[in-house]
This record gives sequence, C-alpha cells and structure tokens, in this order.
Amino acid sequence: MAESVLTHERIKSARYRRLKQNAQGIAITVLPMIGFVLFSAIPIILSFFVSFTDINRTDTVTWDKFAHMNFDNYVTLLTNANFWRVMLNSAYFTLSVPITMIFGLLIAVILNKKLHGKRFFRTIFFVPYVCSIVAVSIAWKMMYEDNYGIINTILSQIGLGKVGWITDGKLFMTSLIIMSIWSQVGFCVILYQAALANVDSSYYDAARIDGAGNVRIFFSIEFPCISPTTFYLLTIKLISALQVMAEAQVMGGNKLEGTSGVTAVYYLYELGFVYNQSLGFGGFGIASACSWLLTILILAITAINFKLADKWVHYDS
Amino acid sequence: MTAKREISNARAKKIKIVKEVLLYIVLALLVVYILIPFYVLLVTSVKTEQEANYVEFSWWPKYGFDFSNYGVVLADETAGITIFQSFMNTLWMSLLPTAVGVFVSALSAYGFAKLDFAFKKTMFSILLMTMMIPGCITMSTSFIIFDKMGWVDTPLPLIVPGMFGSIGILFFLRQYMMGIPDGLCDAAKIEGCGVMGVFFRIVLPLSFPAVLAQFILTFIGHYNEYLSALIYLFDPRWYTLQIALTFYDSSTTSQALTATACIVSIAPLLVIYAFTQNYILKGISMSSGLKG
Repeated sequence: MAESVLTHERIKSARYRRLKQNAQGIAITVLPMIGFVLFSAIPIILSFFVSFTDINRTDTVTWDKFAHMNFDNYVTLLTNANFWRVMLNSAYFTLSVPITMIFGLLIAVILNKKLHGKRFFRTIFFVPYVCSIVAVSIAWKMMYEDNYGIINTILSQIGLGKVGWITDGKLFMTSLIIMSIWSQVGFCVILYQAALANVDSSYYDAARIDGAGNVRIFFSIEFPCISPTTFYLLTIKLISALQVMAEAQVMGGNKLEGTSGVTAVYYLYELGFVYNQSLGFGGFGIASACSWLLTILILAITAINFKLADKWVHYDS
Repeated sequence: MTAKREISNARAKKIKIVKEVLLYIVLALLVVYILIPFYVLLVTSVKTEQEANYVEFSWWPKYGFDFSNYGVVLADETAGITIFQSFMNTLWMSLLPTAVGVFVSALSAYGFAKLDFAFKKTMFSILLMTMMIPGCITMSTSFIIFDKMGWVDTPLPLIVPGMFGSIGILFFLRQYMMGIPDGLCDAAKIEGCGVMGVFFRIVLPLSFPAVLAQFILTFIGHYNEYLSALIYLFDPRWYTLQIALTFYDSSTTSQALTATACIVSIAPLLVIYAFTQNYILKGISMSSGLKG
C-alpha cells in the first residue's frame, strides 16, 4: 500500500520534472519563433490577400478592402512589358553569382599556396563586403560617370571611346554585375579558403602517388570536396542576387528609358512606395502581387538548385 | 649524372621562383582593383568642388587640395540633419537590436544545442525553413502592419524585429555550442547551477569568440541597413547615415562633398574591421558550417 503511493508520487514528480523541462526549453527558444510569426509569417499571409486587392499606401486598411478580391494585379503585371523587363534584368543580374564564385575560388586556390602575407590579402579582399551598399554604389557611380569618371578618362586616354556605363540602358545591368563581383568576391574567397583548408591532406598524397597533376587534383579532389561550400554559396547568393535593389537605385536606374535600369525589387518598391510617372500605376496590391511572382521565381530556382545538388554535391559522412 | 640532376634542380627552383613572383603580381593587381574605388573616394574628397565636378579624373588633385570638404560635411546640415547626428542615430539604432538580438539568439541556440524538450526538432526545422523566404515579400504588408501600430516614422520598425534574434545567428551559434562537451554542463548542474546558470557560467563564456563574431557582423549589417530606413523614416531627426548619404548623393551638387560623406560614413566600420577582422573572417567561414 505504502509502496504504491510512493511510486505514484515518483511518477508524479517525474511527470512534473518533464513538464518543467519542456516549459523551460520552449521558453528559452520561443522568442525567435515569435519574431518570425509577428514579422514574417503574418506579413506574408497578409500580402497574399493584399495581392488580390487595390490597397494603396495611403489607404486605411479595413476589412471591406478585401471584399472584391480579383486577379487584376496579376493580369496587369503579366501583360506589362515593364514587368517582364525588370524580371529579365534581375535574372540577368544573377550571372554575377557564378562569375563571382569562380573568381573567389581562383583567388582562394592561390591564397592556399604557401605564400607570405596571405592574411593581408584576405583582409583586403573582404573590405568591400564590410562597407555599405550605398557608399560603395556612390563610389562606383563616380567611377562610371560619363565625362569625368575614372574609367572613361582612362578609356579616352588610351584612345578608346567613352562608354555610357550607367546612362546606356543596354549596359546598365552589366555595370551593376561588374560592381557586384567587386563587392562580393571577398565573401567567396573567405568561404572557399576555409573549405580548401579542410580538404584532407591524405587525399592529395594519394593522388600524387597515382601521378595526378595540379589540374587533375583540382577537378578530381578539391572540387568534389568543396562542393558543399559551392552549393551553399550558390543558394544564398542566387536568392540575394534576385533581390538586388539599392545598387540600381543609387546608380540612378530609374532615370533610364523605360525600365532598363530597374530590378524586380526596385520595381516593386517603386510600385508600392513611390508614385512613378513612367510606371504609371502604383499601390500595395500590385506591389504584393509583384513580390509573390518574384518569390515564386526565387523558390523555383532554389528548388531546382536543391534537386540538381544530388548530382554534384558530395558530403563526407 | 649528378651534374645533370643539379642543373635540373636549379631549373626547377627557378621555375618555382618565377611562378611565385607571378602569383604575387596577380595578387597585387587584385588588391589594386579592390582598393581603387576607395582611392577614388579619398582623392575626390580632397579635391576642390570645381575639379571634382568638371575635370576629367586625375590620380592626384591638379588644382590643389581642399580639406575644407571635411569641415563642411562634419558641421553642416544636409536634408535637415548633420552627419554626426545621423551617425549617432545609426549607432543606437544598430547597437540596441544587435545587443538584444544576439543575446536572444545565443540563448535559443543554447536551448536547441543543450536542452531536451518537446517540439524541439519541429521548432528548429520550421526556423531553418524560414531562412529560404525572400525578404522582399513582406515589404508592403509590413508597412501596413507597422502603420496600424503607429510605428511608421519612428525607428521602431528598424529596431524591434531584430530584437527577436535572427535565425542565421541562432543556427551558427547552435553549431558552435554543440561542440561544448555535455560533461561540463552536467558538472555545473551537479554543483547546483540551474538551466540559466549553465548558460551564463559555462556555455556563454565558452562560446564567447563565436558570439563576438556574430555581434560584430550583426552590428555591421544594421549599420548598413538601407531599405527599411528608406521606407520607414521620414522625419529628418531619425535619419540614419545611409539615408543622409543618399541625400548627399542626390541633393548636393558637389561630388567632393558626396565623396567626403562616403569616407566619413565608412571610416568607423573600417576601424572596427581593422581591429576585429580575425573574429569577423573566422565568424564568416564558420557560418557556413565549416571550421575556420
């Protein structure tokens, strides 16, 4: 009798302890979850509904705004040449990602040789990444300037013609890519260097004994070993490249004819927050629709990325 | 026979030296490429307004130095705020969410790494998935919500969301904390530490380098934040450095002044970077799940 009361008590206290443990664990880890719900999940769900309305920035949002939901915003966007142009611009800008990664990898390979001043070089290459996009874009805008900028000055000094780097709609996005390679390469260098340093040295020895040259070693050993890093960089850099905006804005992308200098996020910012004569229409409804279309594109690219990863990414364990 | 080998050895050595010199030349050229935009800013900031605006670029000021640009940028108001005031705004609007956010992230990272509780796996995988959501999707509707709350034209939208921690930091710190031996935590528990005691006395001190790296990186991120400042701040007294910079860029006609403002705004970060680059670079390389 007394024994059963004891086990009963014991079960009760074990249950209590378990409950306390759960409560403590959840209390400690719940804040980021609350932040996600408040500042991401709710706005995302709301933006889905808003994208079917014509809500404006100046509107007081009430429930009856959602009474007449329709596909007008999506139809307007998908039949609008400006929209396709900005999506194309953003897609074109993603070319900067593989180029930056190749440069980053090459520099990392050089830095992984036994050289003096490795740390100095690494430190320098990373400096642009620390600086704000605004300041860096202003610097490049000065360099790209038509008449007095450093690049056109040098071009005319060596007898070549001046180029409208950021005033010619055909060149604008390419100029953004050149700048982006400059600002992002340091990040790739740092990650690739760490990845290369982690490659097991016994692999190299084995390959040397088998008579492999440098090129062979790179493609057969180093490249597969660092493929998780390549995959990581590709994933996060594609997502952020498709959302490029500040660079295009500071460089004056909206001063060009049509939308040849406007990226997708810049476009949806202008739709939502700036009344723009050349774009004609505006509002949070259409901006939300635009952001959903872009998000679908981003998620599709990320999904393809993950699917393809099975084929070429090798994890050690 | 040996003479032949010696000759080939000497040749191999020569080739090696030539190769090394070539590598250094390549690296030096890359360093120049990286530094040129900064040099352009620096040299433009000490040119006279006339030269900066209307003369082809020269590597050295042709018409004399004009250091008064720095005096003007530091003392004068542009768009209703001095650069120093906007720097102070940036400073507190960055430090507050950085300090609270990194602490919150570290605490939850500890929970996910060292505690055992219900829904732990589910919660963590939901958080991981949120890293894939593109930020642009919430741009308009966050504004609607903050507007309803009366937060538009206050610094709150820039500060409060960051205080709930960031998934990226959490993920990275969790990885780091999992490397701390469980035995240490258990020993502390036997000595009478509670769950929070173990965090403050064992886990936090042992992961200090990682926490510091994330602190600096987060601070840099907030310092350079542009889009939300652009959307939410209208009153000049709240302007951050990045907004002040765009006003210099669009409303001042002097390229020299704009360049000076850029130099002044990035200088504090460059100083921080110079002193903490070891932590930062290690933090970056570890954030992808690699060892530094």
